[in-house]
Amino acid sequence: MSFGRARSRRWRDWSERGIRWSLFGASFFSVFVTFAILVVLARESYLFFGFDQVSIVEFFGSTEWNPLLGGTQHFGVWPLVCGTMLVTVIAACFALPIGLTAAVYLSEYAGPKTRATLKPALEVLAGIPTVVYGFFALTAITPLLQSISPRFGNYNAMSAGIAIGIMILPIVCSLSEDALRSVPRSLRDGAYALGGTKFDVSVKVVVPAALSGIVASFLLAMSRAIGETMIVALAAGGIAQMTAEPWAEVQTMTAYMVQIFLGDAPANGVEYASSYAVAAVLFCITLGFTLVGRYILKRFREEYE
Amino acid sequence: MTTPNLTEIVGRGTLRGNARRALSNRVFLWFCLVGTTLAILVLFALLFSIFLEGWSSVTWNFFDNFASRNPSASGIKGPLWGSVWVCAICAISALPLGIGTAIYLEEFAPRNRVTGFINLNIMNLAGVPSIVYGIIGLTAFARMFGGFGSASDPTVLLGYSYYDEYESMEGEVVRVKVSAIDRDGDRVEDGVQASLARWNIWVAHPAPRAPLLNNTQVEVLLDSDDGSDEWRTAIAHVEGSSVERSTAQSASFDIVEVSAANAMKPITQSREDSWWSVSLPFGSSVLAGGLTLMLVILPVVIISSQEALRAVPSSLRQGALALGSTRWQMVREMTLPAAIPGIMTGAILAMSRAIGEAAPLLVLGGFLLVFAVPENLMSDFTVLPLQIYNWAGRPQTSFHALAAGAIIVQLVVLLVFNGIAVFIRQKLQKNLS
Repeated sequence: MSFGRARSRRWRDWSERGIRWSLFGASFFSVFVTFAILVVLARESYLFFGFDQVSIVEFFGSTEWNPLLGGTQHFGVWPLVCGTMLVTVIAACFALPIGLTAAVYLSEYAGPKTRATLKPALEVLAGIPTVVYGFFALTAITPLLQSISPRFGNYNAMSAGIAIGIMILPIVCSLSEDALRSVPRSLRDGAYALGGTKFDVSVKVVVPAALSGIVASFLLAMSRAIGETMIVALAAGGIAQMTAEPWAEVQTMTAYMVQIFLGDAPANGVEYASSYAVAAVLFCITLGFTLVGRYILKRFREEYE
Repeated sequence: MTTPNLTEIVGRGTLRGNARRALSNRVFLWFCLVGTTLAILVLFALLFSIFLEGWSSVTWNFFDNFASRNPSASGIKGPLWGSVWVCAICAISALPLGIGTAIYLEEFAPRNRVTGFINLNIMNLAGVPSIVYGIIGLTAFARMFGGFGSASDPTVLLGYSYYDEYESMEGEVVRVKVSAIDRDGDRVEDGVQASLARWNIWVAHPAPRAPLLNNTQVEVLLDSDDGSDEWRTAIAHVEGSSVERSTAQSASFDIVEVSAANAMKPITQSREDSWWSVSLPFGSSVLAGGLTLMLVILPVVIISSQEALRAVPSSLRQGALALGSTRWQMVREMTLPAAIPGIMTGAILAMSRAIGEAAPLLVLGGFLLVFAVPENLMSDFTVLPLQIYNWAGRPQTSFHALAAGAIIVQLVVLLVFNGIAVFIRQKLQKNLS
């Protein structure tokens, strides 16, 4: 009896150890993925800068991006970064104010019944695939813009920007609302006790108290907008240029990668390799946004009991 | 001496201030209402315009036809099954890995630097754009870092065969099966004929490697010139001795025979393999696609599972440990059953993200016109969002109606997924605290 018990105990210890290690292995896989991303991007970018046509100085210094057309190729990444930023800024101008007001409304004004209907609607908005927004931009927003002003071409930054704005709206709204709702009740009660109206309480007390969370939600949404691919591939066009005009056709970093991988460039060529370098730049920018957002959340969070 | 009535002054001042503040309060309320309504209106405008445009194309034939250059004969059978295969592989690989990670981090891991680093790392992975995962999938799964030979050497991979593309004298695109070409004695495994035509590649890209030998009989695929989908196979006769491929922009092909059996009909995949057969590297197969999507949704699965586990009250754990159970027994008997509804909800929402993801798969394999349902792990595929992208990007409005129809199908699937998630959240979640 005792023998069997001892054996089962040893078996249990071993299986316990095995399970523990395999779970550790699973969690280590995510570290491995990060490692793979860094290695792949670094290695392929290194190969890209090994081509004769390319130099690091030109890549980060030149404002000409002309990788495909024959003749002299130019690899200055700024037009792509500029296009990405233009689209992102348009999206932010659209999504951040509306998202924040909707969040304030949901958290401070709306009754439980209104919230119960509006929140799922926003969740549906968040679950729609981005290619659907791209289709919407192309077939609904662009014609609308063209009817307002003929300056808008068939592909333009504005249309893609608005579609991305709609896409990130639920992210801004739900993350900001979380931040607003985590402000403790006592702060609101205090403000009301001092005679504040609902407006005073929400704008002068609750929003400032939740500011770190709101800013973090903005940054997270912006990083989503920068990395968004399908909308810009459908609606923003394919001309890499330095411009701030919203009706202009621009190419973003992600749209360039799509163009390359759709087969416009021969494999093993310099154009193909350039997409890895662009991906590395994209990765660094979005990582920067994520890290800054996380830092703000940690550093400037007001601690309440 | 008449002193102004103090209360009167204060009262008046407060009254004015109060009126102003009441006004600003009301204005702000309206502002908020308009903002929120605008957000909801946008959603309805979007759904309504798509529904209006696409409703007519959702018919039974729409589900039973493959994609075609003729809009009225087009359907989503290929992408639909592609989505099913890819998402199944994604779920099978991502869910155990993600849930295992969450269990380790929440239940087993000591609170030390390594655990903190892994947590931070997962947060950062969640912020990586999906197209970057596509590039990683392309390099790591589709090509395996170039470690297993040659998926990327020849220009086009169709089905199981590698093809080089040339432009014939007549401007036709000609694809030459690589197995027909002696690559320094290093023959690529012979495959079956291609089932697929890649839509975008009309320009020939000669790969810079082995020469075409003189008078070789090669099997080629001809793009038919009448604008239909079909490719013809033909036996071609290569002239121009040992043309270096890098210079053979227009190698002259003497078409000696067009095999009538295959003429004017899609060549279907005929490899007889079991569904699990795998070859290295994965190429742009359903397996590579599923694993790439696994990378995309893994952080989402991990984070939502962690939250579900965190919501389990620690009294349950303490009770289990006090009764002498090991950590794993505690997880198996107490924590996991309590957290399963939350984990399932997160998993379903993550899968609905995987279904809608197009960018990484676009990077992985480009867009393919698929004329066959995937049959095994190495089959070529396309998915619903990619098909939508392709149709939406065309100038003809008849294709836009198809895209809208496919979007309707996609949204219905997502709605079902979300509905299941909400149902699980409502019904199965017990209040344990």
